[in-house]
Amino acid sequence: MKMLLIGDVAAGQVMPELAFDVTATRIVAGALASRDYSPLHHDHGYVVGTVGQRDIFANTQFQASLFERFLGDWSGPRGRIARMRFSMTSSIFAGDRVTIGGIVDAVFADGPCGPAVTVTLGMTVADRVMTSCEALYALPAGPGDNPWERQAERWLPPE
Amino acid sequence: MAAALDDRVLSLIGVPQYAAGPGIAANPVNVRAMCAAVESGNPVHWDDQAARELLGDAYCPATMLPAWGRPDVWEPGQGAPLKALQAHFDLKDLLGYPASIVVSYTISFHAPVRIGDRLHTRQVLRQVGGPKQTRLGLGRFWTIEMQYLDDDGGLVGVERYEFFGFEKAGA
Repeated sequence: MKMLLIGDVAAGQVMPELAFDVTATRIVAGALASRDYSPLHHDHGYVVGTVGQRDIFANTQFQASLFERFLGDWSGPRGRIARMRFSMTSSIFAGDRVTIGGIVDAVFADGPCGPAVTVTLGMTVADRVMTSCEALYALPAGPGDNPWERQAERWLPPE
Repeated sequence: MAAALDDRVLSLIGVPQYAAGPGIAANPVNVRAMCAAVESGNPVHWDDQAARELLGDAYCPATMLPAWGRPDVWEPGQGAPLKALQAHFDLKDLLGYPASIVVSYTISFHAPVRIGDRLHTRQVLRQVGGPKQTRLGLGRFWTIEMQYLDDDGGLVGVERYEFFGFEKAGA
């Protein structure tokens, strides 16, 4: 079982890319799993005829889940997201092949949620960034440390 | 367009609205459906024993938080279809904008959600900016939070949406 530790990570580290085919079926499955019933994510006729887009497109939670999968593939299951901030430039449509990549911006040995890293992730289609995401991501200090047990002063304070 | 905000809008800023819940129980059916949609093989979401051994409990993927606060598409006694983030649509109507887009979206996870948890939600309008001309048209930026709470009122997570509502250029 993969288990990335904070000591394995350095600022500037590039994360392995993930290529993923965003099919109509996956968009609909993701929208229903996240209980998002907007027709933008399942009704092709509405999206094309009324909204004027070329096809149904992925909802925010689908993209967030894809980023969470990407981070989990990188770190192993003990990695834990504290915060994500998205900037969406364009929609991810059915039929798009996306590539997800990321880079470690900073490493924090302690502090809120620490040990943790900040990362910048990008979801691109044909080399154009459609969604970027800045995330604060907690990692284990050692093999016996579990970030999912961090709480109160060891986790994210209310803003 | 007047720069000053209507009293009805000002009275909404900082005031929790649409308190709801408890919502649907966080459940493995939705979790596994989402994991399947994005082909996540993370064992803690497919194998309860692995979840307990690796994490100490059966936690949901953090990013599924909004799923546990959304209304069903229909409920008994409910005439019109329910909308998520109703406070946004109310404000859009109050300001008279026919269109809006999400400019940025931040989600913070203050406590993990376990399988079986049922969350409460409330919506808070944080701020409304002055009139602004963009390439989309003349409008305003505003920020709305969707807060997720446990049974004791403890903060579980916050979604923060920044919208731009506008009258389309040339309309």
